[in-house]
Amino acid sequence: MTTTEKINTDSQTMVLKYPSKKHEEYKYCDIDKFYTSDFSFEYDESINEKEIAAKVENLKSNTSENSLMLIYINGKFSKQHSTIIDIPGLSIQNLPVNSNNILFQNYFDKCVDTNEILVSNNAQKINEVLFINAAKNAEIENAIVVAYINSGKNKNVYHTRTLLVAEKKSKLHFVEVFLGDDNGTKFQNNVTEIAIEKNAKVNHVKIQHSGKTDIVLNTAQALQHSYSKYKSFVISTQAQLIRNNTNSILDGEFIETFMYGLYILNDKQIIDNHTLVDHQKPNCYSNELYKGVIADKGIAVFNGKIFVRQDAQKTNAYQSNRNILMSDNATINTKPQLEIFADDVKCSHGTSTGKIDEEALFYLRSRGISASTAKLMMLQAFVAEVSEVLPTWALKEFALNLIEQKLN
Amino acid sequence: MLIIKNLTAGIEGKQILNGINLHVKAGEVHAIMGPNGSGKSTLSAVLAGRSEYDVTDGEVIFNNQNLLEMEPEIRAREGVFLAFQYPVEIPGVSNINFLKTALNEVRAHKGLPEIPSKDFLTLIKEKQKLVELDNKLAGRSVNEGFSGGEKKRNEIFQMAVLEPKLAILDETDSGLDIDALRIVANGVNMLRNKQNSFIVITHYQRLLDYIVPDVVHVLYKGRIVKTGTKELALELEEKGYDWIKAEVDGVNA
Repeated sequence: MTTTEKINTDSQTMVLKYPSKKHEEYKYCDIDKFYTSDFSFEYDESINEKEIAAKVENLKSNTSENSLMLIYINGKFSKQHSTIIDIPGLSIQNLPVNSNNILFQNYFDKCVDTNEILVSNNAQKINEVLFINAAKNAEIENAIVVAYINSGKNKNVYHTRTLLVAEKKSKLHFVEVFLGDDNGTKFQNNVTEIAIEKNAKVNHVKIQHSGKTDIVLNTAQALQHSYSKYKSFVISTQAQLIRNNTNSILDGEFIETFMYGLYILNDKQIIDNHTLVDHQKPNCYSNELYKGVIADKGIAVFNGKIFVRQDAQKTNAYQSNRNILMSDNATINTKPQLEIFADDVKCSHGTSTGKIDEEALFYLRSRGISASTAKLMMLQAFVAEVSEVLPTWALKEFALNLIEQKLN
Repeated sequence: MLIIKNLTAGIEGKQILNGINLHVKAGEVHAIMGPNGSGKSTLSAVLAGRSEYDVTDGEVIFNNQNLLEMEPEIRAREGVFLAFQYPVEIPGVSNINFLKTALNEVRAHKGLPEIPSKDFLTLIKEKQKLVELDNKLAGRSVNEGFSGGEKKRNEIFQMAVLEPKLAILDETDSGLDIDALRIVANGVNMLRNKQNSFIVITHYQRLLDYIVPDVVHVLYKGRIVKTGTKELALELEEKGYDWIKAEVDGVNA
């Protein structure tokens, strides 16, 4: 696997614009405010090797031996920290954007909406793409882990791009981990396209525990063909601002799409999950469950769009967003957005926001359990609905630990 | 065990308890009966430590300690147990896990080590039998999907595991059919001994046929207006509460 050592430089600062709260889709997530002129496009060399090595070790100890691990430091691939295994049916390459690889050309920039601002910014800045391809019939059981580790004391911007192609009847387990430290500030704009051909299955887990000052922008969009299955999980526990655009275009029949999300915030953190499930053809099934715990002055956003096109008869589309607010200043802005143009469908959406059930808390205390332990028990029960469904190969223990830590 | 002196308490500015006096000794079962609105629920809420209620006067001494100054969890660890009239459902919190945590807190408070998992499982199997609580119910989330009777049996089950010194049964019989009542009462009777005490709060006399009290009190307008033996309960069963109300109101008219 070759990497092109190319560091993006921009003689002009702030060529790109990021959405501000004036944009409807970003009205609670003012990215422009964070994209200040003191960000550098250079690679931050002031990395802390020791910390990085420790983080990589930690990741390794949470994955099974036959997992692949691709480590990126400040957006740059690091071969020495990575673990690459040869697996029949699986190909992992770093391709330039103008590669003449046919499969690549077929899908690159075709799964996403190229007009979307984060996507177009990404396209302008990247030179190469991480291309992961499962060949026809290849059921890859090994977990493929891509870890983005931020390190260093400077303020840097970087863009990363991945294209996952699961050919007919193949299977892929893909994990993206976003880690950082509390020094410096990294602004990452990642775009991951996932092409899932007929009868293929992709399980996609994202774990976001970046540095407290980091900005994580993440677009993950799947393009699904008939009889395919896409399961997406996003666990967000730390960063200054996280914006996830998690989308799937159901371009076929008998497709299944699952989206799970869990976000736990405190301080003044902002976590914005925008999802889109686009039912274009008949007989597909989608189900979304996003849960959040918001403390202090945290601001969470959930916007779940479900489009059911005119031809998409017999669609089953479900969505649920549940939130617990731990303080008076915690905020959740939640909006289901169902646009249904077919008439023989089953769709539902539900949102709930509240505090921890006081009755239940008192009940636990009346049995001798302290108030703080009781609160923790109830929060654990609340998040378990999502965290328990995390597949074990997807660094489940690692995620559970992060969740546990954050809840305390 | 428990001395309540002139307890006056209310909620949202409204006074409900108007000077309760009660003395419960170890080994005794006291029944507190009364018409609706007499303050029965308020009394159990105040004893359990619900913060919505304000105690405006009086004191509650539990084993020589000021109960009113203790947080709810401390009262529980000291040995006070309230069997709720409407036990709440707590989805996602396992019944077993919750009980184990609670038991360990009580033990820690007494200076005992945590109970080993194996011993705990043996303990709960034993106590389950006491209230005929199905294995699968025990394995679920706290009270989730339990019927009224099952919830009440779960209360007694917890009582059996935690072994409190003072158990307050808040209208435990409400909503129970005869069979469930018998099971609950049997559970309570099996737990009775010379060291612990029970306050059975009830509207109807029926429960007292099964859990025979040593003393019966009648609560009316926030005060204990009559105290007697179990015969008093039978008299109330026969005549209702009107004659008591007349006596009390008549005197004050």
